[in-house]
Formats: sequence, structure tokens, C-alpha cells
Amino acid sequence: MHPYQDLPSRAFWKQAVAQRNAMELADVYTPRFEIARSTRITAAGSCFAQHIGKQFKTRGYGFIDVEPAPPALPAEARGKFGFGIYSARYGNIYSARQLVQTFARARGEHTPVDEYWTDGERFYDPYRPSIEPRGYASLAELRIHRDAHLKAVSSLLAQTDLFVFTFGLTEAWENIEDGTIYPTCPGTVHGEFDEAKHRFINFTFRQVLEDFESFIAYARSINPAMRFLVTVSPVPLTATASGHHVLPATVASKSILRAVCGELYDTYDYVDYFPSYELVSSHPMRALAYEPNLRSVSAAGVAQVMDVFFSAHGDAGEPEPVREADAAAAPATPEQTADDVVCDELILETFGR
Amino acid sequence: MTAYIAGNSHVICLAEAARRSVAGGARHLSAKGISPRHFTVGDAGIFFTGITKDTLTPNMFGAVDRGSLKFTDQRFQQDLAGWTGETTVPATSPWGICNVANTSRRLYRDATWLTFAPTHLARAGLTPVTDDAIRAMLERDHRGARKLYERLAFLGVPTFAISGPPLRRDHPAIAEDGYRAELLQHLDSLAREVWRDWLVNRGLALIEPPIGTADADGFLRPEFENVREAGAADRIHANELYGDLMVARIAEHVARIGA
Repeated sequence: MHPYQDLPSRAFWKQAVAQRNAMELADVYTPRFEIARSTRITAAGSCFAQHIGKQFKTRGYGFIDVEPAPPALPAEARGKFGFGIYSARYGNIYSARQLVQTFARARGEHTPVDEYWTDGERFYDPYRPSIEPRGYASLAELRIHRDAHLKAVSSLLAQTDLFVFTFGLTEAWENIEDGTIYPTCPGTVHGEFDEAKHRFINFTFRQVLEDFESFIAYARSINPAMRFLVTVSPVPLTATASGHHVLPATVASKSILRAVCGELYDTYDYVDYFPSYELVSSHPMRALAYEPNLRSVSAAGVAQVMDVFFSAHGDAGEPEPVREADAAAAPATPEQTADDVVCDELILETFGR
Repeated sequence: MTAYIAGNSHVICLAEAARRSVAGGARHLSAKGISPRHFTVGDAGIFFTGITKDTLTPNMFGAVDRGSLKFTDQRFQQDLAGWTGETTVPATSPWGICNVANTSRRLYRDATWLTFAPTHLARAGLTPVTDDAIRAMLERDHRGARKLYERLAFLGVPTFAISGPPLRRDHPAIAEDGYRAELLQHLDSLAREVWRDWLVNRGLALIEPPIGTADADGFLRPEFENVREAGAADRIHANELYGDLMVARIAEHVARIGA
């Protein structure tokens, strides 16, 4: 007798992976708790989190949206203005630190020294620089929209049973004076980079863990029964400022984030982990779920991953239609896909060599 | 050359104004034949159409065949034949399209404005919306009208645009839906701007409302409001006095392009 003797086949590489079609792995995810359609769900995170939120909505789950689009705004324009992507118009939140600061700003406990960016004509919110593609007409207008947004965000957690967060990056840029994290490096999407004001930060395992634990503590102070579903984005770094090659930099970053998720899962019984990262980027998948640029996740890849998630939750409902045709209809750039449409980080490619 | 002035109900005051001008001995216009809708200005003609219940749609402009513009909408064709004896018109004849798209009654009365407002009007309880987002709504609303112009461009038919009159202070969105006048005025100015930009980008001329017909806030001055003698109040249209001023501008434009 030994401990491996009675383990299920999913515990063995040969039966669970090597002898199976990579797209048909069984029991790769076992939900820790039930997610019902009545569960009130909030989503935030990096680009890949958009798919999760979208799927919850499409399948009729109780997806919270505290900043819904104006009814008259056509569906095709909503994403461009950050409507309907997450549970509020906070745009992509790539790191746990940014998440913590977003909610601290909403409750008035953090006021960044860097209030706005301007190109001389238009004004941009440094903490959601793409939310209005052409920015605001004036600083006064920016403030009105920012205040309305933060007020909406401040109401979010009280309405939430399940908080879904997709970890995206460990690399970020912060304001030297007050430590505020920018979702994009100043000067890329908008703003101007100033090395006297901005500095690079590459979060360590300990920092990411502490940041997310601090968020959990705050969220559960609002709703003590709140649960969390965490994932890691399989989308590689567009660029690294770490000084390393972008491939090992990506692996290092994702490894830290994956390890944090594992630690959170092991520590808190109200945290679940869904292995979207493994289902897309691990080597048995042979990069099948990626677009030719090996960065963007294809519509089919997203659908396959989300099917695994919902099937595990006993939901074999209609998935969102594959949007390859949509993506092909109006690409903003030759390589842009549905997954990248609202991805600030992609702008870095413009500045790459 | 005859210019065809088509559009929605705002064409009525133009046609009536032209008819009255001629009856009153106007020098810039004269009647052409027996039709109350057909006039002569200089060497050119003006025919007001689309003032029946027929809807002006891209599909009514069927094709150009041997230099003639053919219509697929039988009701329109019958209307045209009834007044002119023709079922086709020369493809080189210009079409002036009146008030199709430059104001947007649908959007002005939309329930969106119960909970949203342009940034500078967003009081407590109303979520601010930027002008860019409103422009996106308007572009969607103008989509059908743009197709009309694109259809005419595809057929090679020369086209120009005629603005509808300024909004009235008793517009249904204000008088019946309870929306603020400032909201309506802001939406209308954006609608006109979006429409003007679209036309300019395509090199299409736009005949704007005559100066002096709007008050300081941009609303149609009361003396230019149409008053119905019976039935429901008219909260939309301008009267023949306004039509007079507008027809003079149209006649000037037609005379210029006909020269």
C-alpha cells in the first residue's frame, strides 16, 4: 500500500494528460463552492477577466454592473467607453495593488497626487486612461466623471457575494511620491513619463499576496460572507521593463501570480481557483488556444476554457457565440482580436521596436 | 434642371411657403405648370416632394438606367407622375434632402435621459455622459439617413442637405416627457454638429436655418412656430414665415448649382 494507489486518474499525468486530447481534459477543475445564477457576482482584473464577466452575463448569472451603459448607446460602442466589461467602469486592473487602491480611492482613503493627464487640449484619468477614448473636454468634466465612478465603485462590494479577480501582471509603474499604481506606464496610452515622478515596480510573491489579503479583509468587512474566485491571465506580457528577456519575465510574473493563487486557495476556504492559465498556456495545450502572435487568446480558446468552468459548475448552457467573425469584421489593428479590444497593455506594442 | 426637395414633414412649410410666395408675386420664384409644388428659380426648377406619407428610404431610389433615376417605391412614383407626368427623373437632377438625420426625435425622447445627462447637466441622481458617448448614440441614430445619402452617391445623383428648423421650446420631449430645455438644446446642437461633420467630410452642401430664426438659447423663435387650427398641438414644425426665409436660401443654392 502507498498513498498513490487509490488516487483517481486525474492525479496521474499519463491518464489525465498524456493520453488525452489536450482540449478534452477531464476533472481539471473541481469547484470549491457552488455558483448559482442567483449569486451576485462582481468581476475585475486584467484583459482576460473580460471574458469571464461576459460569460457570466451571457449565461444569465447575477452579474453586478453598477455603471451600466446608457440605453441609447449602441451595443457596438459600449466596450469602447468601458461599459459592460466589468462590474464598474474601472477598466483593466492588472495588479492586486491597483485593486486595493481602486477601492481605497472609492472610499476616500486614498487621493493620488497625480490627478490628471493632459495633452493641452483633452484631459485623461491616469487610473483608467482608456475609459473615454478621446479623454474629457476639461478637468472639471474629468472630476465629475471620476467622482461618479468612484461613488459607484464604493457601492459595489455591498452588493457582491462572489468577487472574481484575474491576476494579470506583476510589473507596474508607480508614482514615487504616493505609491499610486498606474494601469499603464505614463506616456504610453496617455500622459508623459517623468523618471523623477514615476518608477518601475515588479511585485514580489509576498507583496502580491499581502495586497490581495488586504483586499479580502476589506471586502469581507463589507460582506463577511463574500467569496472569491481567482484566476491568472494566460496572456503574456506585451513588454517587460525588468531588464530580462520578455519570455522569462513573463514566466516569472505568471509563476508568482499562480503561486499567490495557490497560497490564497490553501489559506482561505472561501477562495476558489480556476486554472484558466493552465488550460491555455501549459505545454500540453501546445499553444492551440493562442492566436498566431502567441499572445492573444483566440475566441475558440476562450470558449473552450469557459466551457470547462461552467461545465464544472453543472451549467451546460449556451456559451457565448464564438466571435471570430466579429473580430475579423472591424479589427483596429491587423493583429488585434476580440480579446485585445479593450487591453491597455497592448498599446505597448506601438512603442516596441 | 430641376432640383427635387424631399424629406420628412418639415418639407411642408417649405412647399407652402413657396406656393404663397408665388401667389404673392415673389420675384425669386415663379410657378411652373399647374403643380402647386413645382417652381422656377432662374433657369432652374424646384419640385417639392416626399410630403405625402411615403417614407423617404434608400430603397426607393432603385437604379439609374440610361440617364434616368428610377424609383422602386410605387407610391412615390405615382405621386411624382401625378404632378409631373414623369415616372423617372434625370439622374443629373440634384436632390435636396430636408431634415433627415440632423435632428433626432427618437433620441431626444429616449428613456436614457431619465437616468443619464450630459456632463454639465448631470445633477444628483443623473449619471454623467460625455459628448463623445452622445455622439456615438447620434451616429447610430443617423445610420439610416446616411444610407440614404450613400445610396444617392452610389447612383451618382448630386445631393445636398437642408437642415430642419431649430427646436421649438414646446418640443414633445420638453412639453410631454418633462425633459429640461437645456438637455434638448444640447442634444440638438450635438446632433447638428455630428450631421454637419458627416456631410462636410463627404463634400455635401448643407443649407442651415436662416440667421435670426433662433433665439439666444437656440430655440425657434415663437413667430416662426407653426400653429394648427385643429387637432393636437404642433410642437415640431416651423411655419410658412420660416419657410419663406428657408426657400429663399434653397432657391439661391439651386440657382447657383443650376448655373
